[in-house]
Amino acid sequence: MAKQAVSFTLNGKAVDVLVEPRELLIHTLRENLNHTGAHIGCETSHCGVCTVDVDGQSVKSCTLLTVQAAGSDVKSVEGLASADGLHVIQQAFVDEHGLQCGFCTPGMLMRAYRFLQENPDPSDEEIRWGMSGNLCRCTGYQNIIEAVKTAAKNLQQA
Amino acid sequence: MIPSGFEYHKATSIADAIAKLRDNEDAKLLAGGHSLLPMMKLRFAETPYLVDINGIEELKGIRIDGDTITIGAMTTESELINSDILQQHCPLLIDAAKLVADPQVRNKGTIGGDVAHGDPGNDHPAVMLALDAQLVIHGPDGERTIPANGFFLGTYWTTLEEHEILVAIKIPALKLGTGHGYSKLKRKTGDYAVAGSPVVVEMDGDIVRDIRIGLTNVAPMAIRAEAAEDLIRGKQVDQALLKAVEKAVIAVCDPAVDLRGDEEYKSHMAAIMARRSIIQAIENAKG
Amino acid sequence: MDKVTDKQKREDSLNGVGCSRKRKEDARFIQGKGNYTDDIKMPGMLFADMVRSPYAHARIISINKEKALALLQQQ
Repeated sequence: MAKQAVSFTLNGKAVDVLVEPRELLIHTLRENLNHTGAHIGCETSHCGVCTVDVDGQSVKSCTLLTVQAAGSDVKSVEGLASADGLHVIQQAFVDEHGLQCGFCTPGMLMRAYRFLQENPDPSDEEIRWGMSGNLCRCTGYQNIIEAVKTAAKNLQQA
Repeated sequence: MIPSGFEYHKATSIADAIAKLRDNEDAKLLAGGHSLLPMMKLRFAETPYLVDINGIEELKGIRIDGDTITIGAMTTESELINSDILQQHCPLLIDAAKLVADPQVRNKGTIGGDVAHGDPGNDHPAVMLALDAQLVIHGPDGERTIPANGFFLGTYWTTLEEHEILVAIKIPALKLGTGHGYSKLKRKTGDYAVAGSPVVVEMDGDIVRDIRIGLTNVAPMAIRAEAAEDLIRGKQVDQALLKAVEKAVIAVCDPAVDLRGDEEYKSHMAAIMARRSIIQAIENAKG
Repeated sequence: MDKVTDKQKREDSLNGVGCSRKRKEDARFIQGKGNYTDDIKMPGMLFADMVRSPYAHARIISINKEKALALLQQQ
């Protein structure tokens, strides 16, 4: 089917792409826009490694058509760090050993980023529930919970 | 891995959406997309024409007028969870929404999609039955409002006619002396139910004046355990009665056999979920 | 305070054995620059998908490439 022009903001910068309506946002990010931070980890919308932030919400980019993101404000892991260095959340994951192979990490970071804005001072239980859309095969999750807790603490002090 | 090709139209109004459904053969609606898109990616579903209804304002919002809560069909699970109106007047819906999938899916998944899609694993249909909800439907021939009881006919099969759209859900606000319970057994966080049961009771002191027991994913569609309800209506609930109720629930189950369990297991679990929800409902009717 | 100094002394004398180290690979993983296999892009790169036999034990009579080659014509 014919391609259509879609414009949106990615990590603060305007982007314009030409996509078929059936193209998924994850593929546009990874192939057209060369942002390979978000990953593809399943075919069933379960794993969450594709998680990005769209208009202030955590969304699985493998289950969103790019045409649906027209006019949206999209943030991916590439937009977390700034000229001043790593984002507080990124540093927390490093410090708490919240990653091993790193494949789920961009999704974890983007979800944690939004989750901590929704719930700035979460309990362990709340973190587990809030991050339940992101699977990890390596860590057993405990250090990810610690990383989110540390990030919460450091964000509140910032 | 990726859907087959289609034409895409972002509908500007309900009338526009209905017109597009009518004018394009085999057209499908895109609501939250978290049932449809996964199916399309696996090529279990296809459409030549996709009508995106995410931009239609009339389909959003939760409001209360007197005793009736009206929920727009495009209200997401997250919006249900964060609704003050529901917290005060229909917390059962929030309990159910919290156990649907995961946060990302809840940001997109809509109550309308969950109800209209017809997947027996979806959580809201049984809740609609327990709440005795009304469904507001618009189509080429006009509007109609029907009880949720009778809407669910089978797997991916409802009484929605061709080119009709579920537009809103109407629920009676929680009355004094009413209690609710919700139990969902799942293998892991975010999974569909092995068995789930929403229950609503109206109490007269310790007597259960009225009760509605919904059951999720233990039949080709959401069902009510009516025989079990009849056992309880007008009585005070005790252990002996609950045992009889469990048997009546098992008798009405007709679950698919899959990796979540066989018939005996799922039916037994449905009985346990119903039991827990009944006890919970009676408890919080007092609160 | 003493605990810290003892620990430090012990670690120093072991020349690194048993001490905690920060990982070197985190820097790129944490910024989405992991360069996993599917992230690699090279000009003119080709993609392969394997067609597996649906039969456990069979003789290959012919290999028919027409449908597969036709995909290359589509865009």
